[in-house]
Amino acid sequence: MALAAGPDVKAQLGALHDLELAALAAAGDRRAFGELARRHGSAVRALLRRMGAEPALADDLAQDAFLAAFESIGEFRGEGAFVGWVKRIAARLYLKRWRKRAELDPVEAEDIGDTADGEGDAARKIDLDGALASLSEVERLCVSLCYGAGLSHAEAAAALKAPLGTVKSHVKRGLDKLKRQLAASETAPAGAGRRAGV
Amino acid sequence: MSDPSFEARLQRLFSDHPHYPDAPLFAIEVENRLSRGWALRRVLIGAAGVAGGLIAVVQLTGAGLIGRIGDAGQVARDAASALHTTAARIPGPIGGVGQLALPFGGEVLWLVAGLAVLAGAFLASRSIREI
Repeated sequence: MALAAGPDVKAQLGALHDLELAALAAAGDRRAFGELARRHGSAVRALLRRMGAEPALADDLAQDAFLAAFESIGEFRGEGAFVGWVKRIAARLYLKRWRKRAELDPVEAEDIGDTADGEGDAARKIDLDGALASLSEVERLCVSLCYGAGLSHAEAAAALKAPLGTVKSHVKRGLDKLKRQLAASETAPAGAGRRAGV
Repeated sequence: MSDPSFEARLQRLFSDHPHYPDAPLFAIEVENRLSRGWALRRVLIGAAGVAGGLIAVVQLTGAGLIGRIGDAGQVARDAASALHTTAARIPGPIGGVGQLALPFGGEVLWLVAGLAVLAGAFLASRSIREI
């Protein structure tokens, strides 16, 4: 597939499906890959922020994830959504960073205590970002990996280098908290919720 | 106990993400980083090619290959001359084997060789385009 040169290229690329863009990118077309980054950059950045990354780090890692995806675009077979594939790459990059930090600061990284109990202001946040903020770091990571990046419990355990049972416990605790948070936000008066700073 | 409906809802919530206003800038930055990577790669490949070429020239010069090729050419010329002299001494049709063995003239041979070179060039250009 050849693209015409000039200002029409953007429009042409915008009309293509992700799979077609990925095929062009696999043939070395960087503009096609740029279009994929334009389409899915926000999704990848949002996932990283939901996993607990600071906005600047999330943006850097999202860029790294797209570059890594371009390098291995030949491995993308189109069996799942392109954005899901890049999300998994990004999640693994963040985990790598997180594990390094965990080695330096094990107390903070292994903190599994509650940061909120579902009461007060936190309970009134109506969106996912607010609810996630009430989870402990590890719970947030495990829940985001499984429900945001689409990893199975076993894959998340392998990525975290943690026992499967531990990951399942973190996920379960995280889900219970999220359920309470989201239920509380639904019963909260209109206008009480706010969007977290993402 | 797992709650499939809540898990499905959570997946939907995760897939519903904010669209950042600087999304176009993010994409441009990704493209720029890709271009920088490719430019650096090209420079590195070019530098490696130049370095390899220089090493090859130095090695060839150091080994005296050019002189040896000249010597080999002289030996071949001497051998051809001796063969020609010997063939001229043999009477009959064997002495003129060069002309008698071929059913066509020397021009045809040159023509075939030229066509072969053209075909080779065509194949090479196709291969380069494929790469």
